[in-house]
Amino acid sequence: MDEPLLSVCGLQKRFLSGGAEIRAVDGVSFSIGRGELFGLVGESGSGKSTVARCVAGLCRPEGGEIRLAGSFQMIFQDASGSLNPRMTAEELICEPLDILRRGGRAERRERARELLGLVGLGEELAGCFPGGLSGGQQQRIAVARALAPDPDLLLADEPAASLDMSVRAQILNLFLRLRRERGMSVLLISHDLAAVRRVCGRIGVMRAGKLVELGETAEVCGRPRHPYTRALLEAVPAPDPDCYQ
Amino acid sequence: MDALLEVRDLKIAFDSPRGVIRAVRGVSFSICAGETLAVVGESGCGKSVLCKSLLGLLPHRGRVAGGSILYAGRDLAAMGERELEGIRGKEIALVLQNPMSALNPSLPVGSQIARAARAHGGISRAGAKARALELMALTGIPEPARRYGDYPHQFSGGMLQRCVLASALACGPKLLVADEPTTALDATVQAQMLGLLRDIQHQTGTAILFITHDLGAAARIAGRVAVMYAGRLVEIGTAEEIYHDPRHPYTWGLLASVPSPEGTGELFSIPGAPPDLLHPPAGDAFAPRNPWALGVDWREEPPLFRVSDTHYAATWLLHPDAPRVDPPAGIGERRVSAGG
Repeated sequence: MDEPLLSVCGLQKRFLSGGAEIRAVDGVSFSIGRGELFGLVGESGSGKSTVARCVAGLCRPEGGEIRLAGSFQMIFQDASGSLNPRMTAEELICEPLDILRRGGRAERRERARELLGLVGLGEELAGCFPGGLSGGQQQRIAVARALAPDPDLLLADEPAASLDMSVRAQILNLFLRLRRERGMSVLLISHDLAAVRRVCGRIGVMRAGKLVELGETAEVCGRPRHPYTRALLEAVPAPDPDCYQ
Repeated sequence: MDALLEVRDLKIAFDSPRGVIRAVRGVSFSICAGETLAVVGESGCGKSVLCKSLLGLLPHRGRVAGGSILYAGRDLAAMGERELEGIRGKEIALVLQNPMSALNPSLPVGSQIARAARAHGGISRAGAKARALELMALTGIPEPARRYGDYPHQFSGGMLQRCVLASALACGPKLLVADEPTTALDATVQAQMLGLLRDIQHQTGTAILFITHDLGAAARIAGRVAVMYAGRLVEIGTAEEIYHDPRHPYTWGLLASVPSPEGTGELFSIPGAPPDLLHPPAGDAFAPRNPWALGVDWREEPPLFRVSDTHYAATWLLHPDAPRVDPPAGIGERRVSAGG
């Protein structure tokens, strides 16, 4: 088998809180292949975001190994907080290219407009500031910015948690398309199992810093072994009032 | 049954530098004592503005531009600030999406609930503390006596939202307005919270106006559902009618957007985006996104057509002369075995 794009092995990350040590990530191991959508699900505080932050180098793990055979970009949950309010959509999308010194000015601008189209936004939004855009549009700008340098891996931490169903679907469909058209890999972090199981081929379930279940989506959702995975599956709301009478 | 709250042809406008934004464009509905009505729609459809207006809490550029909000025979829309103070918390209480911003971070949670209980007088300090402890137990906070003195940062998001709910219930409101109260919570915590709201309703008899973008969440709690689009109600009916016999193409789209466990691959998303309410379109605001739009949709706004005594939908498809259109496969038929 080919070497995976990302492999995480025995990852350990501890935080101190009020004198007590919290094992935020406690021996987590998984890998993501090229062109794979991998979902990491779990409730807040389960350590799933910390895993992404360790992979991104935003925090330093105490133990374990992270191997990444390529480039990555990150998308955060809070789009408005991750976009500089004084930069236009085009400037925001060009920024990673400016930093990486890729292409000339005109090339970067053209790329920004192409990316706006790719995330389903019109070119007329190029000159808009984040304040004038809706939450869904802001998150799509953040996605376009992450895609600008054409990364091998996208680390998406709850990219659609605060968005409407329809916009959420657009963003997840975009991930599917990027995998299909560009062979991009995505680490999708979410507590929304309903959405994750639709788009991800494999899923890891985290609880209290540990990976309690890991496997093919059909396997994990069809035959959940851990009680917490079952609780997550049962929590998915069905659009049918008869279930809840 | 008599209506507890009756909203009649409510219009809300915002004055912006670019012109007048018509956020709510003639909405009518009523809520009876003890029932739950869910208002469902996408961001920007006016649902949050609608619920803020019920408590006289519109942002400063916003104003009620027409219609009335009748509560116990009095028009809330015409009330001054002092009169509204007597309504807020006591008659109608509000729970918002983010519990962190609803509570003061520098005060113990218990004393904030006790303070809410004292807001309308008639209760001693000791009585208010006892009431707060009782409410914390009612909303499922374990060991209320031990947690009483804890600060907001010492609670998880779900527990904090329970505290907010406890303070909203402190003065025994007859109507609880809950604006996306579970959206910021984890899936498992969200399910618990919705179950809790149902239990509390059984125990206290309070009516609930539940605002959400998630038809799945609404199914867990609502007796009736109103679907809102571009500042108007496009369909209203009992939960049974909305989920199993929906008539408006927008409701079809919202139902199809809830990911089903059986499906794989691309998720459904309603094409296009809601209209700019600075310039509301002529005709049906949903027409540009509606694959079943008729010629008349582009010229004239559809009225609410009657489907049953409890079920109405604003789509020209219900006009006697309209061609027969069946909802897309699967819509309305999606039944899940009990226990989900």
